[in-house]
Amino acid sequence: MSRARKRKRNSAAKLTDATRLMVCRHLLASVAEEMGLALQQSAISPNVKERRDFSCAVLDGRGELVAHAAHIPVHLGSAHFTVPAVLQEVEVQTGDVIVLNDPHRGGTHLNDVTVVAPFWVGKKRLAFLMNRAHHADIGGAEPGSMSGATDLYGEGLCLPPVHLIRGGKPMEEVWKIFQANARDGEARKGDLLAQCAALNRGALRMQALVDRLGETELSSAMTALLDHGEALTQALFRSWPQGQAQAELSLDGPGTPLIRLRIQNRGGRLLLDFRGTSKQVAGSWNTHRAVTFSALFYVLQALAPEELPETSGSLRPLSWHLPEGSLIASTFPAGVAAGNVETSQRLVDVLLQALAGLLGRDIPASSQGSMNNFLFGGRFSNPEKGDFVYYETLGGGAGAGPHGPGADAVQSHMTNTRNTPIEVMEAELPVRVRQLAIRRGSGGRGLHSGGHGLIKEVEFLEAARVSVTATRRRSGAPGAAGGEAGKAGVDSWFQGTKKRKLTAGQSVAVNAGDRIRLATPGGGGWGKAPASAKAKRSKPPQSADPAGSAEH
Amino acid sequence: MKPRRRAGIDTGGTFTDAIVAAEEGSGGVGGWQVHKRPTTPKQPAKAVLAALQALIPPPAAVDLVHGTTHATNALLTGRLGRTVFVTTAGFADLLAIGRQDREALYALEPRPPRPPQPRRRIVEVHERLDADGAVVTALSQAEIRRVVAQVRALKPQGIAVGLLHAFRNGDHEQRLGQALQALAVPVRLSSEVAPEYREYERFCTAWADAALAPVVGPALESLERELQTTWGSSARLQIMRSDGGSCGARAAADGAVHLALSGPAGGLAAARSLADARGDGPVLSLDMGGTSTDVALLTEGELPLEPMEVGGLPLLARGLPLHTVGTGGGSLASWDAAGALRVGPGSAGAEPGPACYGKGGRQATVTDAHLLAGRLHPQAFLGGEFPLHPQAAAQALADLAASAASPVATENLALGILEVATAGMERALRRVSLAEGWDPRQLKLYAFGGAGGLHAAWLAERMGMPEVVIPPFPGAFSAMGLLAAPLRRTLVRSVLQPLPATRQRKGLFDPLVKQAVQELREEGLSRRQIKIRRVLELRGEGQAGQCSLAEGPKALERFHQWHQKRFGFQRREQAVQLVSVRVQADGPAENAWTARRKRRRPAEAFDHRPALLVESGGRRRVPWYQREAMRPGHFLSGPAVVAEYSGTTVVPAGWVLEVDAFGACCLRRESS
Repeated sequence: MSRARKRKRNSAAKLTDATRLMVCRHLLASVAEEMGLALQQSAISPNVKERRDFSCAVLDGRGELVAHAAHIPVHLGSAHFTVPAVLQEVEVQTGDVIVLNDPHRGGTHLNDVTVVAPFWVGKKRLAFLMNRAHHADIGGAEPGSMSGATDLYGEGLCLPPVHLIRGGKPMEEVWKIFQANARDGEARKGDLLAQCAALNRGALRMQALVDRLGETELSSAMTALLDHGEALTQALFRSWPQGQAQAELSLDGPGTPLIRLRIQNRGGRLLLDFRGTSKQVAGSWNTHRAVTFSALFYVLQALAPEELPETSGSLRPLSWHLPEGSLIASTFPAGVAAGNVETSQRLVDVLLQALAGLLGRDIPASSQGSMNNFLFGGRFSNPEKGDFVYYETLGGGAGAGPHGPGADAVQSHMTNTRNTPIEVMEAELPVRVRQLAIRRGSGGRGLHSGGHGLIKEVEFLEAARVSVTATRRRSGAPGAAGGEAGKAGVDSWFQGTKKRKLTAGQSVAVNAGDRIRLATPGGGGWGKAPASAKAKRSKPPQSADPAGSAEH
Repeated sequence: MKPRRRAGIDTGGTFTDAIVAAEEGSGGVGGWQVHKRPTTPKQPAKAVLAALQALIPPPAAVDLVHGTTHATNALLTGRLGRTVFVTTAGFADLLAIGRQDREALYALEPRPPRPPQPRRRIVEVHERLDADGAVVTALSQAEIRRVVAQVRALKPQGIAVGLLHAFRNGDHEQRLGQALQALAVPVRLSSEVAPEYREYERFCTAWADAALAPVVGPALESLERELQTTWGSSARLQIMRSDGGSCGARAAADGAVHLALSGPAGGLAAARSLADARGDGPVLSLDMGGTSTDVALLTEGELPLEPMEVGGLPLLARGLPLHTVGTGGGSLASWDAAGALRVGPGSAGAEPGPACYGKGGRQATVTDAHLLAGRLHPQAFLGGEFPLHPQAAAQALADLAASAASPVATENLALGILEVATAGMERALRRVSLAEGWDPRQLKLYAFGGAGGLHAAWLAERMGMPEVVIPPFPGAFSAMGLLAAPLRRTLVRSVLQPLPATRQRKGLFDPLVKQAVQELREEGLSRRQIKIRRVLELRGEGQAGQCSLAEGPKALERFHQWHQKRFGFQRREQAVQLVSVRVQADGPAENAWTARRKRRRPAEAFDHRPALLVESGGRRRVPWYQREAMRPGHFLSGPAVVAEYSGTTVVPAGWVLEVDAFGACCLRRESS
């Protein structure tokens, strides 16, 4: 043992700091990755296992994010708000797991159920492990928990940070409350179990790292990783022109709230001033500041020439004015279910527009700007089969850019979840998919045309409550550099031959035989379209057939 | 009559490698003769035949087993046959939509990979099944006639038919398929190529098989013709499949999608067959070449076959598991904006290659760091045929050091590059082993490729792995795997039912067994020569993670044990679902590995040179050994370096190396 320890010290002593940093970065990333694998493989619901709507993180003893395995950008900037919120409310000991989903106390929106566990070395709290998974339902008025509410109370079960496991012992009461408040409680419990199992796997791996590197080395590596992230972001800001720019966009949700942003880049710091943004609104369109940070992190990552480390250090060189109680930094009891998925997309558009002004660089046109949340649930008429509930988000058109046309029918910006295979959907739910197609003609015209949205039409075989939570239903995604806007999305409800337009955010009761069709927004075009010629569409695989069917 | 001779020839990106068992008195090393020559990218067959000629002069009764890159390259470049895709009405865009995710999360202008199938060559057909395979909309004869006429007008070279839920009920696909036969081009049905659930993946597989057929078929047929013209009509061509087995040229053309990973499968199959011969349990393989490193977990017993992905396209045909890491010998080192050292993702590739190749490369690479650290011998690289340029390497590293934010010695920089590259490999090895529930400390590391041996002992030390095995001819090891590949078929069918009792499962396997046996008999095997393995692919009801277990008693119990091992908990109350049944039918396996008598004796060094071994701490003079001069039983102690025609192995201090009975170098920690 002593020999092994000596060998470790020897090799560590010879490393330059620059090397040690990158080595530790790989090692900590592999802890987060392993948690992600464990979660995905043992979870129950399609939303986690097929759509991978979750993220896993390693945080230091104070709750600063040091490693992240995420498929979902909307979780990116939010992890470091969680541990401080936990520590404010509960005491954490060895063998504890804390659960929460309160957006104003460390969560994002209620569906994202987060579990956090401290990792101790002797008496020192070296790190926290955490994961966050989107549960398909968390109670509330409507199946899927993402529509129909005016405030947080109406959105579903709200869990402040509480013990889910204490000293290794499950808190049965909490599990019971959780299971009783969400539709399809068995699946919810299965997913939550998988989340806890993932934390255990993470803890095993952290212990192996401590055995290998020693607690001191690991702890200083985490500090160094945060500093490294900070230095990289500073360097990025220094490489950009110094100065100011601004942008504003509104949401076509109720009351068309506005997001207004002024940015100032000076001396390696970026100031974000959101003053002038609308106050928080009734309904679910608000976001917690955690989501605002996620959007910002995403944009920085997309613009950085080399990968920024996914640590909270990378966010240090930011200053901000986030007006408390506004749409994008809402306070209790603001509803936020849709803010996570819709307002976050608009935040990206605003940030990109403002930065385009600062950088003068060719930035692509806006992408569809929505996640097109499609939710439904009900009871099977065969009572043995119980409840059904379903959630998915749909792709749309990507914005065209200086390098070519936008991609068709693809997830954009803040989400990258996969669709549920039709064969899985029809086997598990009382629906029949009638059409899944590219919505031709929906991309904005331009020198390069925007990507087209998609069409998904579903026939219900049982009565159900259905909601579509979406934006870009009134105006399409703006073009850039003279390109035209994409088409807005259209959602329809067919009863026999009768066709009705669905209002975004509205929930409706459909009967067996009814059909719901979502036609998602196209992306904006880029560059002025040549007067006579058709927009250039190179021939990527997803390119549309000019002779193809007309828009539906 | 002279016995038939078997040759393995693997077409790689840079070299075409050939290997044959040496004839008595031919002077081959360790029972093998190896030949390497540059690949001829435009006509790969040229280098293949020239390599064969060098080892087995015609005429001869030769069995050529070939690892081909035809299918892979065709998929990656999109140079495919003109294909028509026929699918359920309402879903013509399914191939273009895919799973709607984008490959690069942060790309501002994403270009997600999808099958290059233009919409105008997709034909919709009015029919529909439900999730149980029951008919919702019947397929009429009139509709079939309409579809055939429409397809005919598109002048296809290949046709794929993919209908929703066809894995449950293949009747509609079959009726269309029969009618489309009239067009006299290859027709592929999704319910036959990959009778598994998930429509995009199944359609993509059938589409790829149809699109590859017109490209791969003629190329293989012409190679076989040339082989028979030159070596005689008894010469035979076999092709390596992604599943680690082989098949005849005709069968390969009939199922080209099974060749998507024909090249790398050879190395993995060889590693597993060597592990079996040596009696090793599960092993991790590390194949490090010029531009990338492939890692895989190779368990014993049932082959760990998985669906594949090539160029972002999912293929349900089963292949050996392969994970590519973006670090190889040519990976470039650089400083990031905050002064941390990065290795990759950029690569110097084969042209100009690392600075030390002397072909104009100026940027420091992993190979340059190895050379500067004295871990490569400038005059013993590729048997001395390829001199390295130490000054060029030193210059590249000095330039990089000079651009550092704070002063750094060139030597420390070289070690830093190797450290970071190794950490990236460690992360990948952990991902593949831990993802399957294996602790690396339980696994042996099989390292090959030109550079595998340079990092292997180091990785094993870091990960607590007990032993490293460097097979003979590590740089031509894929070709070695070809020699051992039995004729094989792997057939899979989705079941998606609660695990039935043992007796009821037989009926699920029988049709697959019958088909596999028939296909192998068409290749000239008799029923008695065919060995059948039945595999259950299981998962907890509703879960995504699944495991492959040999069909047999106590399947349920074994599943729960697997669940415990992999996830750390069991859910015994949960139903266990039989996702699919898999049949692996194998012809007789050539045993590539014959144990030789070991005579324990120390190996003799041919040179002593200073080397920087991070594994051993510091620079010191270390002995250099020539692998070709070593025989079973030769041993040596680290620190030392073993040079060989196709690869270099570092033995750190505290480690010993011994050549085993099969000619493999085994590195272990010195027992205290």
